[in-house]
Amino acid sequence: MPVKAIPKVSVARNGLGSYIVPCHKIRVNYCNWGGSSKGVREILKSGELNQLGLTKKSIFFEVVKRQGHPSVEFYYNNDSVKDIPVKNMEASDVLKKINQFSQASGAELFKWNHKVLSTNESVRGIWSPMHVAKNDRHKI
Amino acid sequence: MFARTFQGALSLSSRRLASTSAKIVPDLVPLKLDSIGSQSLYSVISIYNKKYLVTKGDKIILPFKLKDAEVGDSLIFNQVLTLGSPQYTYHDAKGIPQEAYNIQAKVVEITREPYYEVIRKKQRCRRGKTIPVEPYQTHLMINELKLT
Repeated sequence: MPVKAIPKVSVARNGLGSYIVPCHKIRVNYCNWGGSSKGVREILKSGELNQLGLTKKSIFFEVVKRQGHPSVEFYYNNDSVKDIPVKNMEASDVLKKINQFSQASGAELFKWNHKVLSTNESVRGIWSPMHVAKNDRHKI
Repeated sequence: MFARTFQGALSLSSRRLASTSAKIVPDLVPLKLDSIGSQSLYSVISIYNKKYLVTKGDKIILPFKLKDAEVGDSLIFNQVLTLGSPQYTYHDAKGIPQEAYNIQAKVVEITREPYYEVIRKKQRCRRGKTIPVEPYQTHLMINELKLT
């Protein structure tokens, strides 16, 4: 019988080798007239968004002038888009929102009740009562 | 309307989570031989006094926002209690000296738990107070776990 290799599928784990920031594009929608866009206009005018863009070099920033309330759209690697409304927000709050969502992965929010998520096999193996020495086994 | 693109390497900053006092480095030759070049090796690391049993490639989920950490940062662990292979284990509850191993993690994601509301009510008062809860989460990926 020929010897065969055991096939194994490689699992992509971002950060194990190289790391790619999941958020790749941010679109800032604002209105040049409306009062609810005041905070967004401030960060555009003062150059704070420019500064933020320089620190986040892997993210493509797009600024769109349009009617209506302002919002920030985040585009992620897993094809999800999060549209976050920023109406009536102050400049610092808008920057906080951009900072927060640009560090997310775009996956649905979930409360993990496990401290560690692992796909590896157990190093020590699984204990089996059948492999205990005969004298040490539990006797009924 | 304007658009900009940025390209370049991510900024990497390393920092230490805690410090251990100078100690004699233990002889871990049996562990080294048994773990086949750190392939089958696990360790118990301590982050803010909580213990996490990890192997290489595991994801740690911290139920808080790690202070001063940003996505893409590297963390070097120096509070390690246990190093183990299939046959041997080395344990020191006070921490193994950092010269014995190299364990690193990358901050992969900073996100939040799903939003929910808690209603607090006082006795003999019909009004309840609604408190919004949306705690932070930090995901770490163990990308280096080996004996030196």
